[in-house]
Amino acid sequence: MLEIKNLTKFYKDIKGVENLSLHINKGEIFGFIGPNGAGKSTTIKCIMNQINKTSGEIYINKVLNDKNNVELKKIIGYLPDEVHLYNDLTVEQMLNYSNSFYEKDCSKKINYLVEKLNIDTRKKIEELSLGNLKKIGIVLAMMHEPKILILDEATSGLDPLMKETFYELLLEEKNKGTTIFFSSHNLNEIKKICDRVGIIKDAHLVSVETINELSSNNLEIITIVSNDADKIKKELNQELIREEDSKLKFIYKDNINNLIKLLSRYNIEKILIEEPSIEEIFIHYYN
Amino acid sequence: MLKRELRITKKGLIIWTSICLLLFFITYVTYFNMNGNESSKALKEMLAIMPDELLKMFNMDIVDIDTVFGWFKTEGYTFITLFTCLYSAILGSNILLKEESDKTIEFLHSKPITRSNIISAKIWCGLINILIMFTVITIFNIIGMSISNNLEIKLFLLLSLTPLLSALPFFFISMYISTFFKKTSTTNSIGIGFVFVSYFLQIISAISDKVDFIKYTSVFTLSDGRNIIINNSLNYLAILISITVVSISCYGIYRRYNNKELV
Repeated sequence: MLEIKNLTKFYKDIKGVENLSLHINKGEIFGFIGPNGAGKSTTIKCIMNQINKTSGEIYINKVLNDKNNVELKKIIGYLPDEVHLYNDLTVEQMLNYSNSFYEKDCSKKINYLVEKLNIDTRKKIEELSLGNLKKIGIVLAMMHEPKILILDEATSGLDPLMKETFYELLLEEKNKGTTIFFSSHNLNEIKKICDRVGIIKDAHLVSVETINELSSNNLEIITIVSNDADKIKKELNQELIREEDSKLKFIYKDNINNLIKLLSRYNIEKILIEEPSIEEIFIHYYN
Repeated sequence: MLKRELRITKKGLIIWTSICLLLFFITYVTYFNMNGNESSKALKEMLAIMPDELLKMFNMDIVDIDTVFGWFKTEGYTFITLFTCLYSAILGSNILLKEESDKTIEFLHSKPITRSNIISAKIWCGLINILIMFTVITIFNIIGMSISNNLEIKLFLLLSLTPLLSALPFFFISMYISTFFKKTSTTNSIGIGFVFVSYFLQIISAISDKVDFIKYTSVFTLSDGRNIIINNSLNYLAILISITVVSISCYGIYRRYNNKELV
């Protein structure tokens, strides 16, 4: 459905993305994850033809995604990281204006999304908070029932309950066969809704894995406080994130039971097992 | 899209046109209240002490301003030209770039339209606004001057519409310049500066025959009212140059914008 071939974008001498290739299947939710400045938004801006590619091609439904291909634009729904709309309009006017670009009546879908996301359509755009603007952005992206959704940091600004509603909407779209390109820096939400995930770092696609593969990596951040810290350190033979007196912090990749067996031989004061942040994964796992 | 563009530019059009009409209204009231021979004599005495260069600058060396139509041919014409050109330059600087400056281009560009569609809607909107402004001012002046009973309709219409030969190039050139920028705050200043520098160059060129060549660097030369007053006809070369400038700028706008990085 969406194919990116050797995409490269340089901003003068600065790398945005380099030699990125991806293939996303129909009906798939593809997570695109990476730290800030890794190249996620640059990739999306290239897909949306907002910026010029240095090299490479992007195909949608095997058709070259040229910036003047109106037919392709009809089947794309786009939600930018920051939603900027016309402040002089009310929400209802904004939605009607967006509908005017399509050759069909989107009011049924608009009403469904407005109700689901609990939007007050009488408000003026300039009165809306960032979260509410994001909700309007979601309606604008989905109202014309696109075949492919390009979402850039879609849940930033949404409260936890609204995030859950949004995940439900995405799963509904997926069940209808919509392909979803979901950029995020939140590993938990990627794990929650995506089928596969592409990990981008320093303008390069580092890895593409299924969520099952990613989960089976069993990455954990372990913090141990013990008087036997030196002995544990020697026996673990693990690169540490931090070491302070009797405190050790490290990323553990193997079966957690093996670690517990090992630690059971020592006097442990405290043990903390956490899910690593995306930055910690990038620094210590994908490095 | 054009409908929305017209709606959001309506307020600016009304304000600019109203200010222009207000000035003409004040002038008409002043002339209607002038006391015939006495006022005319006072005006002539005042003009007699003015330098020849200044009189030439406003065409007062070839026109008497003791009637309202006489005033229109001199200061009135200069005012319409300067005012409509300023409006056109500011409109051109803003109309396309505003979407990028306000970051609404991300929304608009994601819709099933081409970049050329966006440009065309903006250009049509600009042209409609400029033509409405000219039409309203012309109708208002016809009514105002008809009351004074000294209107030469052909010369009046020529003078009323000739400023378009400068206003349209200002609109298109400013719009083209805006495709090199990201923020309207910069292009607004450039647009206003462009009009005033151009006007200044034309004024300098009128001071002496030695610097007459400077007029060829000014867009205002395209709407030279002096030539119309003397010959009572249009300058076809100016029309041709104006159309050429508009066409080249228009081509430049489509070419630049279609390759521009919008965010």
